[in-house]
Parts: sequence; C-alpha cells; structure tokens
Amino acid sequence: MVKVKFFALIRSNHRIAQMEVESGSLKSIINTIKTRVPTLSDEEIDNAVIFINQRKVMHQKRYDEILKDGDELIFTNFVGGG
Amino acid sequence: MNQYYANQGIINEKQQKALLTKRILLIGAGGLGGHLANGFVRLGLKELIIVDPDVYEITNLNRQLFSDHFALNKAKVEVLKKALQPINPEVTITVYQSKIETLDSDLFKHVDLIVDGVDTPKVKQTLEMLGETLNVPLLHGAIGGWYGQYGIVLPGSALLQTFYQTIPSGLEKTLRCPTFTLGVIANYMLSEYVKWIIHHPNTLIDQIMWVDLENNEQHILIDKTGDPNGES
Repeated sequence: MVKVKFFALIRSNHRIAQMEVESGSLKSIINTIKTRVPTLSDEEIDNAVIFINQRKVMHQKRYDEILKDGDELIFTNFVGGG
Repeated sequence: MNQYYANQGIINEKQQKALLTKRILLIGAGGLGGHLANGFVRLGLKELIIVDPDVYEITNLNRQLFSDHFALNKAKVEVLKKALQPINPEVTITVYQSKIETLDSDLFKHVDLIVDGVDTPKVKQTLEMLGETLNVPLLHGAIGGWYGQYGIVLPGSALLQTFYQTIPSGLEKTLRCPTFTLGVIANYMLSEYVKWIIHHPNTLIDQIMWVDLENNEQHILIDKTGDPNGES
C-alpha cells in the first residue's frame, strides 16, 4: 500500500488528511483518490504539488511515476510569500 | 550579566561569542524580514546587512514589524535600522534600499549566511544562486495563509530550484499573509540558525519543513541530505 497525505488546500477543502491506496502509477493512484473523494476537482489535483518519499517533486501533470508498497505521497501547495 | 544573559540557557558563552562574530545578509525587510531582523539583533551578531527596495504601504501594517502609520512611504530598510540600532548598539547595521539583483555580489563576500525574507519563488531561487556564488548557506522561509515552510539550504544543493521550479507564486496569492504565520516561520528560521551555529544534530539542513497552523502539524516535504544531485 501507498500512504497518501493531504496538506493545505485539498485537506482544508475536503477534510481529508490521509488514506492508503494500492501501489501503482501516480495516475492510477490519483484516479483512486478521485473515486474516494468525488468532490475533488481536476483543477485541485493539477494545482497541487506532489512529493514522493521526501525526495522527488512532481509538478503539474507529471503523473507517470510508479509508486511501490511503503512509498509515501504528499499532496500540497506551494507557499512563496514573505 | 549582559544583554545576552537570557540567551545563555540554551547556548553557552562560547557559542554566544560565535554568534557575535557573524555577518548576516538579510534580503527582504517585510513580513519575515522585520521579525528576522529583530531576532538577529536580539540574539547578537557582528553585522546585519538588510536589502529591500520598498517603502511601507498601508497594506503592510497587518504584519510587518516596525511598520506603523508614521512610517508609511518611508524606506523599510531605514525604518528598520533606526528601530534596531538602539536595541543593540554593538551591531553594525548596513542597509541597501535596492533590489538584490541590482547589487554586486562582491559587496557581500564577507557574509556567513544569507537569509530569505523575500516574497516570490523566483527571487528565492536567486538567493539560492547567490549562496552558491558566495559559498554560504541560505536560511529559507516562506508562508501563505495558515501555512509556512523553512529550512537551511547549503550551497550546491539547488534545493529551492528543485522545489519551486518555474512556478510564479503560491498560496500567498490567495490566502495572503497573516502576522502570526510570519512570526512563527521567522522564529523557526531563527531557531534553525542558532542550531546551525551550535552544530545541533537536529538542524534542518537541506530539508524543508512544512508547518500547518490550521491543523497544528509539521512534516518534512523534501530532504536532500546526502543526495546533492537528487532527482526532481
């Protein structure tokens, strides 16, 4: 299983903090998430930034990555203010 | 007893003396910058260089330390210098009312640390490159709404470049900048700075910590420790 955590807008808008999903491509994981959270829009997914195992950063629409069992995904948004 | 007495429960006299030798380049004298400048001067240092082109505007008053109705239209760096110098007369405070991009990096050859108080991902990446040029770390911070992040970026790690890539702005565009998130993140940055000085094993080096004040949580987003050429 892959642990998926939601921070910032997705968490705030949909009141979901985390879930576990079957391993597979990021694309298939996103489809699973959308099935479980039907109110989640494509735009919210596209505007999120995705971190994989605190190592890789996936910006908009780079969903070809394959996730293994034990991997961790974070969906969040950037902050750049000061 | 001296003015640093209350620092010295968590740092010893030798470490306090090390703080007092540091020369720090702070870019941005706004939300993060005001809190950071205040903190550095109270911790004690040799020289604080502050760079910011702006004057105070009415919309700054919700958050920017040392802004007030009398300071409107005055240069932020001059207001900060005037306010900070009496807090610690031993600190040399040098200010440039300018954008960092227009200044020669040779002006800052002597600094020990660059500090990120700027408000766009692009300039944050410029500071990261300046850190590489000067071969000194960058103390990074950023906020938007309830959320913020911070960490120390070593020269060569290209952490912020990996992180932000080409995005022009983040949540601050819509959620904006409340005073408390800036205060929290600026003070986390100062805490990491002190940990860096005293070689604390838990210093956030080449890592970015996410802070969520809405849900009272923190989490490391990215960790480039031991992975200087990590994939992005």
